[in-house]
Amino acid sequence: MDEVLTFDAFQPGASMGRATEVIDAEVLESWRQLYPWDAATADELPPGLATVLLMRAYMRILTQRPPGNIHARQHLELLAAIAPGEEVTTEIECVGKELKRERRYVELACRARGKAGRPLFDGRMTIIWAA
Amino acid sequence: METVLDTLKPVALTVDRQAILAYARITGDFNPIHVDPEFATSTPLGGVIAHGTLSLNLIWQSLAATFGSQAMRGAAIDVRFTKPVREDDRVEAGGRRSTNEPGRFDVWVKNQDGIAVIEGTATLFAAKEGER
Repeated sequence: MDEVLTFDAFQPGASMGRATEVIDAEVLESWRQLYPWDAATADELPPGLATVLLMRAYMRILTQRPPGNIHARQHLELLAAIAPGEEVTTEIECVGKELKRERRYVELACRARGKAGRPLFDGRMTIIWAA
Repeated sequence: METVLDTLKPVALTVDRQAILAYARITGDFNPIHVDPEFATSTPLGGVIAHGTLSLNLIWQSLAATFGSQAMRGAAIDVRFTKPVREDDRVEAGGRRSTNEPGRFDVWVKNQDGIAVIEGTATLFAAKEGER
Protein backbone atom coordinates (compact mmCIF):
# COMPACT_ATOMS: atom_id res chain seq x y z
CA MET A 1 0.00 0.00 0.00
CA ASP A 2 1.30 3.47 -0.87
CA GLU A 3 2.22 5.90 1.86
CA VAL A 4 -0.54 8.09 3.28
CA LEU A 5 -0.40 11.70 2.12
CA THR A 6 0.31 13.71 5.24
CA PHE A 7 0.05 17.41 6.01
CA ASP A 8 3.84 17.70 6.00
CA ALA A 9 4.02 16.53 2.39
CA PHE A 10 1.89 19.37 0.98
CA GLN A 11 3.87 22.05 -0.82
CA PRO A 12 2.05 25.31 -1.49
CA GLY A 13 2.44 26.22 -5.14
CA ALA A 14 2.71 22.62 -6.28
CA SER A 15 0.24 21.05 -8.69
CA MET A 16 -1.33 17.92 -7.22
CA GLY A 17 -2.39 16.66 -10.65
CA ARG A 18 -5.38 16.58 -12.94
CA ALA A 19 -8.23 14.20 -13.63
CA THR A 20 -10.86 13.91 -16.33
CA GLU A 21 -14.40 12.98 -15.37
CA VAL A 22 -17.73 12.62 -17.14
CA ILE A 23 -21.10 12.69 -15.44
CA ASP A 24 -22.60 9.57 -16.94
CA ALA A 25 -26.21 8.39 -17.05
CA GLU A 26 -25.81 6.30 -13.88
CA VAL A 27 -24.57 9.26 -11.83
CA LEU A 28 -27.31 11.46 -13.27
CA GLU A 29 -29.95 8.91 -12.30
CA SER A 30 -28.55 8.69 -8.76
CA TRP A 31 -28.62 12.49 -8.58
CA ARG A 32 -32.23 12.55 -9.77
CA GLN A 33 -33.21 10.05 -7.10
CA LEU A 34 -31.46 12.04 -4.36
CA TYR A 35 -32.67 15.47 -5.54
CA PRO A 36 -35.81 14.75 -7.61
CA TRP A 37 -36.50 18.48 -8.08
CA ASP A 38 -33.08 19.16 -9.67
CA ALA A 39 -33.11 17.50 -13.07
CA ALA A 40 -30.63 18.00 -15.90
CA THR A 41 -31.89 19.43 -19.18
CA ALA A 42 -30.81 18.25 -22.62
CA ASP A 43 -28.23 21.03 -22.72
CA GLU A 44 -26.90 21.42 -19.22
CA LEU A 45 -26.31 19.74 -15.89
CA PRO A 46 -27.65 21.15 -12.63
CA PRO A 47 -25.07 23.53 -11.11
CA GLY A 48 -24.52 21.30 -8.07
CA LEU A 49 -22.91 18.71 -10.29
CA ALA A 50 -19.92 21.04 -10.68
CA THR A 51 -19.28 20.32 -7.01
CA VAL A 52 -19.59 16.61 -7.71
CA LEU A 53 -17.07 16.87 -10.55
CA LEU A 54 -14.72 18.72 -8.22
CA MET A 55 -15.07 16.10 -5.49
CA ARG A 56 -14.60 13.22 -7.93
CA ALA A 57 -11.43 14.84 -9.26
CA TYR A 58 -10.21 15.40 -5.70
CA MET A 59 -10.80 11.71 -4.91
CA ARG A 60 -8.89 10.57 -7.98
CA ILE A 61 -5.98 12.99 -7.66
CA LEU A 62 -5.35 12.81 -3.91
CA THR A 63 -5.71 9.08 -3.60
CA GLN A 64 -3.71 8.45 -0.43
CA ARG A 65 -5.85 10.53 1.89
CA PRO A 66 -5.85 9.67 5.59
CA PRO A 67 -9.27 8.64 6.93
CA GLY A 68 -11.23 11.34 8.72
CA ASN A 69 -10.50 14.47 6.67
CA ILE A 70 -13.14 17.20 7.07
CA HIS A 71 -14.28 19.69 4.44
CA ALA A 72 -14.18 23.09 6.13
CA ARG A 73 -14.73 25.70 3.43
CA GLN A 74 -15.67 25.86 -0.25
CA HIS A 75 -15.54 28.57 -2.86
CA LEU A 76 -16.85 27.80 -6.33
CA GLU A 77 -17.44 30.06 -9.32
CA LEU A 78 -19.41 28.70 -12.25
CA LEU A 79 -18.02 30.03 -15.52
CA ALA A 80 -20.24 28.11 -17.95
CA ALA A 81 -22.94 25.48 -17.94
CA ILE A 82 -21.64 21.92 -18.20
CA ALA A 83 -23.19 19.79 -20.93
CA PRO A 84 -24.37 16.25 -20.18
CA GLY A 85 -21.65 13.83 -21.25
CA GLU A 86 -18.98 16.55 -21.46
CA GLU A 87 -15.47 15.52 -20.47
CA VAL A 88 -14.33 17.79 -17.66
CA THR A 89 -10.65 18.01 -16.74
CA THR A 90 -9.95 19.42 -13.30
CA GLU A 91 -6.50 20.43 -12.10
CA ILE A 92 -5.85 20.77 -8.39
CA GLU A 93 -3.05 22.81 -6.88
CA CYS A 94 -2.01 23.20 -3.25
CA VAL A 95 -2.13 26.91 -2.52
CA GLY A 96 -1.62 26.93 1.22
CA LYS A 97 -1.42 25.04 4.48
CA GLU A 98 -1.65 26.21 8.05
CA LEU A 99 -1.54 24.68 11.51
CA LYS A 100 -4.14 26.45 13.64
CA ARG A 101 -5.43 25.41 17.08
CA GLU A 102 -3.91 21.96 16.57
CA ARG A 103 -5.79 21.53 13.32
CA ARG A 104 -4.06 21.04 9.98
CA TYR A 105 -5.69 23.17 7.27
CA VAL A 106 -4.87 22.46 3.61
CA GLU A 107 -6.06 24.86 0.92
CA LEU A 108 -6.51 23.57 -2.61
CA ALA A 109 -7.35 25.55 -5.76
CA CYS A 110 -9.03 23.89 -8.71
CA ARG A 111 -9.65 24.79 -12.32
CA ALA A 112 -12.03 22.80 -14.49
CA ARG A 113 -12.00 22.92 -18.26
CA GLY A 114 -14.38 21.26 -20.68
CA LYS A 115 -14.61 20.66 -24.40
CA ALA A 116 -11.83 22.44 -26.34
CA GLY A 117 -10.49 23.77 -23.06
CA ARG A 118 -13.45 26.02 -22.32
CA PRO A 119 -13.46 27.25 -18.70
CA LEU A 120 -16.24 25.63 -16.64
CA PHE A 121 -15.54 26.43 -13.01
CA ASP A 122 -12.85 27.61 -10.64
CA GLY A 123 -12.81 26.76 -6.97
CA ARG A 124 -10.95 26.73 -3.73
CA MET A 125 -11.49 24.24 -0.94
CA THR A 126 -10.14 24.07 2.59
CA ILE A 127 -9.76 20.66 4.16
CA ILE A 128 -8.91 19.86 7.78
CA TRP A 129 -6.31 17.18 7.14
CA ALA A 130 -6.45 14.22 9.49
CA ALA A 131 -2.77 13.26 9.62
CA MET B 1 -39.13 47.14 0.73
CA GLU B 2 -38.34 43.44 0.50
CA THR B 3 -39.41 41.80 -2.77
CA VAL B 4 -39.89 38.15 -3.70
CA LEU B 5 -36.40 38.01 -5.18
CA ASP B 6 -34.80 39.32 -2.00
CA THR B 7 -35.41 35.94 -0.37
CA LEU B 8 -34.32 32.64 -1.85
CA LYS B 9 -36.83 29.85 -2.26
CA PRO B 10 -36.14 27.25 0.44
CA VAL B 11 -35.06 23.73 -0.57
CA ALA B 12 -35.04 20.95 2.03
CA LEU B 13 -33.81 17.39 2.33
CA THR B 14 -33.78 14.68 4.99
CA VAL B 15 -30.22 13.40 5.21
CA ASP B 16 -30.81 9.79 6.12
CA ARG B 17 -28.39 6.88 5.79
CA GLN B 18 -29.66 6.10 2.31
CA ALA B 19 -28.98 9.68 1.17
CA ILE B 20 -25.44 9.64 2.62
CA LEU B 21 -24.58 6.36 0.92
CA ALA B 22 -26.13 7.52 -2.36
CA TYR B 23 -24.04 10.69 -2.23
CA ALA B 24 -20.90 8.67 -1.46
CA ARG B 25 -21.52 6.72 -4.65
CA ILE B 26 -22.19 9.91 -6.66
CA THR B 27 -18.96 11.59 -5.56
CA GLY B 28 -16.80 8.51 -4.96
CA ASP B 29 -16.18 9.86 -1.45
CA PHE B 30 -16.27 6.91 0.93
CA ASN B 31 -14.39 8.69 3.73
CA PRO B 32 -15.18 6.50 6.78
CA ILE B 33 -16.27 9.60 8.70
CA HIS B 34 -19.34 9.47 6.39
CA VAL B 35 -19.93 5.77 5.88
CA ASP B 36 -18.37 3.80 8.75
CA PRO B 37 -20.22 4.30 12.06
CA GLU B 38 -17.58 2.42 14.06
CA PHE B 39 -14.73 4.58 12.74
CA ALA B 40 -16.76 7.78 13.00
CA THR B 41 -17.63 7.08 16.63
CA SER B 42 -13.91 6.81 17.43
CA THR B 43 -13.21 10.35 16.16
CA PRO B 44 -13.72 13.65 18.04
CA LEU B 45 -16.94 14.11 16.04
CA GLY B 46 -18.39 11.11 17.86
CA GLY B 47 -20.35 9.64 14.98
CA VAL B 48 -21.19 9.72 11.31
CA ILE B 49 -21.45 13.09 9.61
CA ALA B 50 -22.84 13.69 6.14
CA HIS B 51 -20.69 15.03 3.30
CA GLY B 52 -20.71 18.83 3.52
CA THR B 53 -21.39 19.21 -0.18
CA LEU B 54 -24.49 17.01 0.04
CA SER B 55 -26.12 19.94 1.85
CA LEU B 56 -24.23 22.63 -0.09
CA ASN B 57 -25.98 21.44 -3.25
CA LEU B 58 -29.25 22.64 -1.74
CA ILE B 59 -27.95 26.23 -1.91
CA TRP B 60 -27.33 25.91 -5.65
CA GLN B 61 -30.81 24.44 -5.98
CA SER B 62 -32.32 27.26 -3.94
CA LEU B 63 -30.59 29.85 -6.17
CA ALA B 64 -31.71 28.07 -9.33
CA ALA B 65 -35.27 27.71 -8.05
CA THR B 66 -35.38 31.45 -7.37
CA PHE B 67 -33.60 32.90 -10.40
CA GLY B 68 -33.61 30.07 -12.98
CA SER B 69 -30.73 28.00 -14.26
CA GLN B 70 -29.61 30.71 -16.72
CA ALA B 71 -28.69 32.92 -13.77
CA MET B 72 -26.20 30.34 -12.53
CA ARG B 73 -23.63 31.27 -15.20
CA GLY B 74 -21.07 33.44 -13.51
CA ALA B 75 -22.54 32.66 -10.10
CA ALA B 76 -20.20 32.10 -7.19
CA ILE B 77 -20.59 30.59 -3.75
CA ASP B 78 -18.26 30.99 -0.79
CA VAL B 79 -19.29 29.01 2.28
CA ARG B 80 -18.02 27.52 5.51
CA PHE B 81 -19.23 24.20 6.84
CA THR B 82 -19.89 25.39 10.36
CA LYS B 83 -21.56 22.39 12.02
CA PRO B 84 -21.77 18.72 11.16
CA VAL B 85 -24.92 17.31 9.58
CA ARG B 86 -25.89 14.11 11.34
CA GLU B 87 -27.74 11.12 10.02
CA ASP B 88 -31.51 11.80 9.85
CA ASP B 89 -31.10 15.56 10.15
CA ARG B 90 -33.58 17.61 8.14
CA VAL B 91 -31.71 20.47 6.45
CA GLU B 92 -33.07 23.44 4.56
CA ALA B 93 -31.21 25.92 2.36
CA GLY B 94 -32.18 29.54 2.06
CA GLY B 95 -30.84 33.03 1.74
CA ARG B 96 -31.49 36.71 1.77
CA ARG B 97 -30.18 39.54 -0.37
CA SER B 98 -27.25 41.27 1.29
CA THR B 99 -27.29 45.01 1.72
CA ASN B 100 -23.50 45.12 1.44
CA GLU B 101 -22.92 44.46 -2.25
CA PRO B 102 -25.07 44.32 -5.42
CA GLY B 103 -25.95 40.78 -6.49
CA ARG B 104 -24.78 39.29 -3.21
CA PHE B 105 -26.86 37.03 -0.98
CA ASP B 106 -26.22 35.76 2.48
CA VAL B 107 -26.89 32.05 2.19
CA TRP B 108 -27.18 29.21 4.66
CA VAL B 109 -28.29 25.70 5.34
CA LYS B 110 -29.97 25.14 8.69
CA ASN B 111 -30.91 21.93 10.43
CA GLN B 112 -34.22 21.03 12.06
CA ASP B 113 -33.20 22.97 15.19
CA GLY B 114 -32.59 26.15 13.22
CA ILE B 115 -28.81 25.83 13.65
CA ALA B 116 -26.74 26.89 10.64
CA VAL B 117 -24.62 24.02 9.34
CA ILE B 118 -23.41 26.01 6.31
CA GLU B 119 -23.03 29.78 6.13
CA GLY B 120 -21.64 32.10 3.50
CA THR B 121 -22.41 34.20 0.48
CA ALA B 122 -23.52 33.75 -3.10
CA THR B 123 -23.02 36.26 -5.89
CA LEU B 124 -25.15 36.32 -9.01
CA PHE B 125 -24.42 38.61 -11.91
CA ALA B 126 -28.01 38.24 -13.12
CA ALA B 127 -29.32 39.48 -9.77
CA LYS B 128 -26.80 42.32 -9.83
CA GLU B 129 -28.01 43.52 -13.23
CA GLY B 130 -31.60 43.37 -12.02
CA GLU B 131 -30.80 45.82 -9.25
CA ARG B 132 -29.64 48.56 -11.59
